[in-house]
Amino acid sequence: MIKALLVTLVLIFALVLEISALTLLWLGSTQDQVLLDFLMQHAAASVLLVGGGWYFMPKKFRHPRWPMLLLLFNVVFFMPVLGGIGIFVAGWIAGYRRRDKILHPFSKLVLPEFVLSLREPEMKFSQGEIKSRLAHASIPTARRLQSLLALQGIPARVSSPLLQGMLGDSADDIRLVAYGLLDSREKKITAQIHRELINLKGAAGKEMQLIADKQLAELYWELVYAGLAQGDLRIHSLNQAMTYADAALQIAERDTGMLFLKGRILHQLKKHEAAHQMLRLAMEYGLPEFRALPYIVEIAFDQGDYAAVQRKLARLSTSQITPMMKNSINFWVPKPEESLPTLSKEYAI
Amino acid sequence: MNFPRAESADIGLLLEGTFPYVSGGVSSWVNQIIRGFPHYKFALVFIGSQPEDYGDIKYALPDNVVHLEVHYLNNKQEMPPVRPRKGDTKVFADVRHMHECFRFPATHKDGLETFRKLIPEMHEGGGAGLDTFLYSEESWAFVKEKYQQHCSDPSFVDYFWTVRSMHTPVWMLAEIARNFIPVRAFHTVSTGYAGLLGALLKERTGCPLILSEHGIYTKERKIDLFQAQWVRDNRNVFQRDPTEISYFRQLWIRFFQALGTRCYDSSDHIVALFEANRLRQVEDGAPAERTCNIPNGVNVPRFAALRALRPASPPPVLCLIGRVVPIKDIKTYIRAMRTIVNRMPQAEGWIAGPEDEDPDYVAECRDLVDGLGLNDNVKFLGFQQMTELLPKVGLGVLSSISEGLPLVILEGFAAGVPAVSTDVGSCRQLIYGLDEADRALGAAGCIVGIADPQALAEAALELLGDEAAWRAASEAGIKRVETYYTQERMFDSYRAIYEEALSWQA
Repeated sequence: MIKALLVTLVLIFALVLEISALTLLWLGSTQDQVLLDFLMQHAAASVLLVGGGWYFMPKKFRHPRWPMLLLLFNVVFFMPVLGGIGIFVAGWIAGYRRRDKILHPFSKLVLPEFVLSLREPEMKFSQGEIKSRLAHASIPTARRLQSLLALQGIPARVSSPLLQGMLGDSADDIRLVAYGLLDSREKKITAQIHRELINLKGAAGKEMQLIADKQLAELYWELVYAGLAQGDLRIHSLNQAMTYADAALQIAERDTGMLFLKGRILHQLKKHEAAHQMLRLAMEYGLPEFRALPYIVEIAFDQGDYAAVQRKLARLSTSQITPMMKNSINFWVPKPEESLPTLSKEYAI
Repeated sequence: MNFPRAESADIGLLLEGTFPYVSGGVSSWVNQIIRGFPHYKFALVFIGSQPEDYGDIKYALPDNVVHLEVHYLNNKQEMPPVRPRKGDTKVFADVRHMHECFRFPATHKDGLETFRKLIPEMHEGGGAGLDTFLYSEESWAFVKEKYQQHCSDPSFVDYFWTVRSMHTPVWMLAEIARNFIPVRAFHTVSTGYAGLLGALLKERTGCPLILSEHGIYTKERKIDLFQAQWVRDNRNVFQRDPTEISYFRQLWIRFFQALGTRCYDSSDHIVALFEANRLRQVEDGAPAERTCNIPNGVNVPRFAALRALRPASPPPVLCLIGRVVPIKDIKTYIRAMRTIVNRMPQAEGWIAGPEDEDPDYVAECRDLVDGLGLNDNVKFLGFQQMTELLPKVGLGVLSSISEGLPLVILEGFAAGVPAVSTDVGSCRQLIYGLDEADRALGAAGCIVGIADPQALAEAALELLGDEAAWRAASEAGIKRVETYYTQERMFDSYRAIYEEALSWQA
């Protein structure tokens, strides 16, 4: 406080000295002595002004000390009045007006939000609803179209029959999209068949030929399995699959995969006895029973041999079958009479 | 090739991807209309995607075509020079408002009004010029804003370029409209880009606009877009909702819908070929009072002369007349031929139509013929003169997945050839009849579901195998075409529309 008072006094004194010096000059004397007096008084005033002003200077401007003092003195001394005012204004602007900015050179920004998806997709309905929505023509076409598009994510074997049904829909859009989906699936398989046929033509050696034959048999089978071929074309595809499966078996007669496939093809062609034999042969060569048995059961069912169905299903261990198959077993196979729980020896005492 | 040029004409015909570069139903119809009105001078604008997609022109230009200009929307055009600019805030407020309005059917009208306000600004250097769209800060800010508000696809880069490539043709059309020669009325044969050009021309000149839609352009685009492989979808497995199509697909579909409504809004006459399509137009925003149906018609006497050339009993020849393109679903026809040949080994299946439009599809069809062992029975004849072809054919086949009102069925009927067709467009009405009096004429063939080769084969075998049924169908077809689908009826309807449009004075 006292220091500030002293400094203020020094500044007032400096001001008085400066005014007196200027008065000398203003009086208009041309003597050298007067000029000398003015310079001395002005120099003293400048020293005091710089000394007093130094106290009010923001700290960051006080370094390096002596050069800064010299600079200030030069400005005040060589530019009488204006220099002093200039320094005061500059110091005020630099030190006080921009204080905040200078004290915080880095401005704060709000953290950007991490967005995974800009707009959250809304799940509109669960899978079970698709079928019922598709079936009702009263539901707006746009909504049914959404259901139809959802079928793209469902395996062809399940969705193809639904799509086939949609080909006769009253709404043009539904019909055409269903057609487009089926057509693109069919096109994909046909293109693969075409590629494999070329591979087969250029196959060097039995091994390459076997690979191409197996691929072709499976691709033709896929057309049928995925529900993409109907009527005569289905029969045609089955015959083609059979031709290539036979060709593959000519090269590798113990290929269980091909024997299994041939069994299923024969079954679809309604050649039940031959299909049964083929599946048994596949099992003989190492195909696990639990894979072949469901088909053997189906053949027995198609032949009307229900006793065999029951007998064979009972052989399937519940750990190796799908939940859907389990339902069939529950239906066909009588449950063993529920026995009372017996205590083990240790606890029987 | 030198195209005719003129200073002015009577009718400006706006053609997108059709006459004179593509042969097919719509092109034949355009040819028929131009030749049907020889006293009117026509100025044609052809809009295509890119020159590589089209060969030479497929039709001899009628004498009354006095002017033809050809424009390609996907052609690498010269863009305005890149110069940074701010963009006019007021204009962009309108652009913003217009886009907001187009989002909801209830506010569509407002959006169209705003669009109308913007048209005069759509020139280079104008407030809504292409340069402003491509390079201005306002435009960038607007694209960013829309992406943040609505886009459910994570890629901004794809969004940005989709928006750019989608909108650029609009300015090209504005440019075409600005430079077009004076005519007294405009007639567009589809909505889409040609339809928008019609709307822009009407806005500039005030001349009446007539719209004749054979298919429903917006619907066909939509179906294409549902399956198009080129539309990106960058959603990951967590973001993907299987029931929602990708945002860019939605964007394209909405864009074409907006083009459609813009054209419907500007058209003074909206012509459909049959009632189902007219209702669809109304559903898509066409004002019902401006819509009407004018079915296609054929030159009956020209084909009637062919009946005498036919053999006594129906030849076991099926013929599909049409371009070999996916929309005709030629594969279903080929598959049906497998069943037909199984039961009628002497049967032949002809495919008569140009094969240059989609060579991949042609190859797939030929592979299928090969794969089904039908090389001896199925023949690709290429383009054929109908008058030479029809007397040799026993049954016309149409296996298309989408049609309007196919001229080939009518021409077949006129020549006494019944048809089996899929249940698309107006085929049911052509074969079984529309109203009671029409139905009383009898069935001129059979309708089956789409993509059902077995049903197609059964229907064809039934007609070809039963001469009495075949004769009845042939008679019904002849009576139907002579009563309802003559060229004269069609010309009379269009004459009334043209006369009304041309009597308009600014």
